Amino acid sequence: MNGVLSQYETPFADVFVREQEEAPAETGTQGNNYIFEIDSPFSRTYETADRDAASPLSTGYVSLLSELNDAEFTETLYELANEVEDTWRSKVSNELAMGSNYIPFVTRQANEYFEPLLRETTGMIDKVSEHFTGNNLADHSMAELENYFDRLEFNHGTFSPVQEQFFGKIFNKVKSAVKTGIDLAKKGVAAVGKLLPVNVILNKIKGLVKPLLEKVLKFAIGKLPQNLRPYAQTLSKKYLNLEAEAGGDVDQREADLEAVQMEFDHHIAQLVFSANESETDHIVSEYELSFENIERLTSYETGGYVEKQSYPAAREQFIGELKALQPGESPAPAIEKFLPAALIALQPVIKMALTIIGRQKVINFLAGLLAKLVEKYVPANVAKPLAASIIDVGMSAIGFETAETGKTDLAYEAIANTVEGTIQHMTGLDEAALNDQEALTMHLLEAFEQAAADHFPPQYIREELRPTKQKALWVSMPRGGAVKLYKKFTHVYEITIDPKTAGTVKTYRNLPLSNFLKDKYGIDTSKPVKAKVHIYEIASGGKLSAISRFENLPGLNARQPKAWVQLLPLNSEASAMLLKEPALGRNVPARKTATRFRATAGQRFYYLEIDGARLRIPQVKRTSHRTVENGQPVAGTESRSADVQVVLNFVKSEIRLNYYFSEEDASGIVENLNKGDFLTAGMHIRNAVKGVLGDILRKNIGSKVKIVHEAVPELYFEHIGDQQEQFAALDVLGKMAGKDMMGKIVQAMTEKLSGKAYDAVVAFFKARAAEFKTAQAAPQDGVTIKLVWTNVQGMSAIKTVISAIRGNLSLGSLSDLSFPNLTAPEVSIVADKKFD
Amino acid sequence: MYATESIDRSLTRQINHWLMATNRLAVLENLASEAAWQGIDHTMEQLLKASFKQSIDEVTAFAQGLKQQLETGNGPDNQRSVRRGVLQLRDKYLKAEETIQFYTVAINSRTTPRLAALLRACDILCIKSMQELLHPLGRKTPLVLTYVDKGVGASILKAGLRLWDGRISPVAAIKVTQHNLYRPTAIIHETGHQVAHILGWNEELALALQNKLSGYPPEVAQAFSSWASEMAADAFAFVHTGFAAVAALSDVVSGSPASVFAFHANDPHPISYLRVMLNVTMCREFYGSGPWDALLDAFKNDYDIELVSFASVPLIRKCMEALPAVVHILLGTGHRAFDGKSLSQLINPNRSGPLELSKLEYLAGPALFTSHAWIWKECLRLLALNGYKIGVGTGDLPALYKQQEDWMTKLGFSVEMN
Repeated sequence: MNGVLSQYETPFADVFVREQEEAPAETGTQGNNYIFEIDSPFSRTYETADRDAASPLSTGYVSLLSELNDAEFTETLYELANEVEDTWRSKVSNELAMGSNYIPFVTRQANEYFEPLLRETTGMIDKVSEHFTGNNLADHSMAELENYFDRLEFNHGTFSPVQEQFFGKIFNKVKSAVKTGIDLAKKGVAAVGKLLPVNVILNKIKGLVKPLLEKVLKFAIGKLPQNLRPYAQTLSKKYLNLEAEAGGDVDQREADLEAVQMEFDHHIAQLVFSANESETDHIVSEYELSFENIERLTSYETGGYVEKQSYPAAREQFIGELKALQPGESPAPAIEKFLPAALIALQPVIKMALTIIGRQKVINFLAGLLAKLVEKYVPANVAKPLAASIIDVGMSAIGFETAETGKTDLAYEAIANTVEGTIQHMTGLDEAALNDQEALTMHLLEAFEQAAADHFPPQYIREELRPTKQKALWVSMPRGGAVKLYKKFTHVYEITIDPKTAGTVKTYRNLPLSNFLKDKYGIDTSKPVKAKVHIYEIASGGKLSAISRFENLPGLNARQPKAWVQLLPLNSEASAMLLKEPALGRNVPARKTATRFRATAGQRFYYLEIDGARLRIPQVKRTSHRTVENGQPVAGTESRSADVQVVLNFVKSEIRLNYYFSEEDASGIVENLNKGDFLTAGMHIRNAVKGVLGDILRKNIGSKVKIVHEAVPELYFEHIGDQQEQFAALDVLGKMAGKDMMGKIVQAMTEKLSGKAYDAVVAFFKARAAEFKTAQAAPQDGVTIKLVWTNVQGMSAIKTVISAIRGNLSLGSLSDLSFPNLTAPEVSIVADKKFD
Repeated sequence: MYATESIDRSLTRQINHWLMATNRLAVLENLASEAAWQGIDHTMEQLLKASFKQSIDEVTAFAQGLKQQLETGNGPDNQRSVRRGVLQLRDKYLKAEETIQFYTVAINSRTTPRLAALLRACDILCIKSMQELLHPLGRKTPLVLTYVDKGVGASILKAGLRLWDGRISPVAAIKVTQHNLYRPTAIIHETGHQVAHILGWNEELALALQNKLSGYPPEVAQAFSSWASEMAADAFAFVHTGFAAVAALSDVVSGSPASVFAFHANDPHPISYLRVMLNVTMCREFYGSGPWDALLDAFKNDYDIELVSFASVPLIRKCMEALPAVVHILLGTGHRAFDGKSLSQLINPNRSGPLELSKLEYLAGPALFTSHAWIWKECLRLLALNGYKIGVGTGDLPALYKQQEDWMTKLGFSVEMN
């Protein structure tokens, strides 16, 4: 091992790594003896022969799923998790010290918070259920149903805006379930088979609410299973008789709330389409126990590895062990002990591969290398000046506590961060690389260079490796907390953002920074904007909201509602343009920045502290249910920015396109229309539709195009895994991979659609601009232009192709396949953001 | 011996008393409720609490020092020294209490979420008014804490001034009167004081008035020069809110004839009669004729200078001649404080004139008072527009007040919640 290291120039400026005898036991060749294969119980095809994939049930099922799916529900769950966390955060100073008492304590706190929400939500479901008891559903018209739900009035004055939002979202889902029930009843038993009365279904849906809240709590405490998403995706495939690969993509394994919604929606849909009560009981109990089942599966996949302690506890123990090392003692055993937890938390890819090739030997190998690289900094007489240097570099930005000065803790923390960062940077490792000692070493050394440069003071790092021109480094935060949830860069940049830069730097879903500044703060971006830039990195188990919870900056602090939405992704482009420091940015796959809810460990963000800027949270009612009190509407959502959505509904041969104009954009258009300046108004519209909105759509096809098709229960292209088992035999499709082909179809349809949509929007403004003005004058936030193409010719042919791609049908000739011929759409305008 | 002991006991008792009082003062929740603290900007809360803590810590440290001195020292000299110290301690405590009490009373005026929202709207109006001038000049805008109180006129405790306890005021505290809560142009007059203080305009303006009015009788130049700070604030309110500020000012100063014609030698406020004239002259110079003419007619009718014999009348008559020149110095002349530009170049009063306001109303349409984008962007001109209509005094006046309340509430709720 040292033979390898002797040729390696360490990242440290002042260190020469001595050659030592290779430790024989730790460095055995990773040979074939580590390879064993596990036939996962989930890696099989579900076949339920009694269901016909193209039946009214299947189409009804995916239609309901589509209706239930609501991007804002994820946001609501996220905010609910934040609020529930507030109930215990101030009462817990050191969660690690609480040990096994921590979870029961927070569960008690959370239950107190959830109790009224659960009571009101289930009460609402009871009320609806009561109304439909004994009624012949087929007798209800949809208008009556809408009328009934519109008239319902609720009184829960003590709810926070977030609780109110959650209640409203469940209300909408209940309404969708009842609507589908009525629709099915109208179709009759002959067409859809025997169905349960809607009150029975609602009663079962009621049983899903408590487990849903428990899952929100799991998210809040960082215990959401990482492979929930692939698991949730299998649920409906099983139901729809599709190929189901439960293992899912490794890169989609993230503890996310989108998967929580997906799982919840699938269970509602399954309840609505259940044939008997025992099936519904099974669905509810499966939902209640899903996390336990997933955990069992994870344990099985990792070769029986059970997380003995949480990652923060393992990290703390590691730092403690480094501190306790005697002079001359190697840190290797401590690193060996720490690595399994780090791998589980930070590198699920390696973790999965390690189950096959033999975890312990790889860990020993990596630990041996890492120990050699860091051992020089472990002795107390070296650690002390290192810690002092860190304090010196970071004092102004971090404000270290007096208790931290004069101690070695920060030095050991830097070493732990470096080891942790090395593991985090070891991306792209496959089974072959893990088997190849030389490749593994090179990977590790490269990752180590980067990690050391991030966490050691610049003077310790060779100049060419320093990621920044500043005298700065990354420090774990919060300083006072035992569990570190994020890192902060110790230099705060003072910059001026010129209009061109603001228009070029992209934020979430490819939205320009200028739109963000205008919509969120009401800043005039035609003039230069001065800002202080604070930079952060999410740590394992951390979330964006953890940063705002523990930071204490103007606008970014625990008191500012929705403060975390102001944290923007720092990729190398944004870093180069704003800070002139490209190496500080961290590039992540585009899907990670499609929404704010996918932030994962290692991702970097920035916050712009702008004099006088205030995040605006307009007081507009965002839920559709009525409440008794007529006071100030409660709102917990920041002013929104431009957005777009396409719904390709193959079940109805219908296409919907929704353009959302922010309040700022809409008011700008109205101002020019009123001025009679149609040229400028037209340019605004063109820039919005063809520029910003078009760009959002083009760059986010995977998340902005909803597909309603019985062979695509994932609803979004980005949720479809890459496993070829999910697609038809490839040679039928001219050697093009199934997913690629589907992607191309969706992309081509979307492009064609965008061109037609722009023409329709222009025609609309020419004839019906007054409707836009009226919608903009409504007290809601922004305006949505809704375009609908019905009975689209040619969609059924594409539907068949997609079915074939997903392996449900045999594919005929593709030669006559053409994209739908789109005529003029129906256009309507609504105030607020109203997506389908 | 007995006397020494009793003196020691008395001194100990007094030191303890003030120490206990200081400890009580340190519990800020006793002075302003948690809800009231939540009604203000978080950064402001931190600044104030940090300032209070320093103030309290200083008193505590002083008391502890005295205690130690009494315990360790002896003899009549030591007792005398401690006695002097106790007097100082008492004084320090009272000053700290005065400071803290002032702010906590102000914070406590945010009694309900709705009132807190209205006052947050006032905070925003104040900050925006200052930003518009200070930002182009590269100066930082101070935070503002508005509070509602009884009385006729608004007032300001400027940021950056020395407080009762000797500390520097961390934020500007501006009083908005109950009667003017829905017509708060006076708070912009107060922020005018703040910006003039930051930019050093008052001194420069006083000198400019003294020098440039040399063609008038010396007492005229002298009088206007002595009123420089108040006229500067009036000019600032005018450039932002136009006739709204003028009408509101006229209503506020319209007291007894004696008060309208009163002249006090050291009062920085111009004689009220002249002040209304000056403000109307500003309107005329920038907007031509308009409802301010009717307002002035009515004012002159109420306070007919031909019918009164106050001592100030001769000075008023002389000063009236100089009003157009004064307006020019205030609004149209370049000043070092503004990097050589004039106030009207930096903030164009025409934007708040009747023409531009009516254009704004037309261009924004009905969304102007409902859209959060419009309210945020144009809150100062909304204040000007509503104030203008109220100032004209025709139409459904209660509806105008309600409209003002509604958009201010929206504005206040949009930035923070209780």
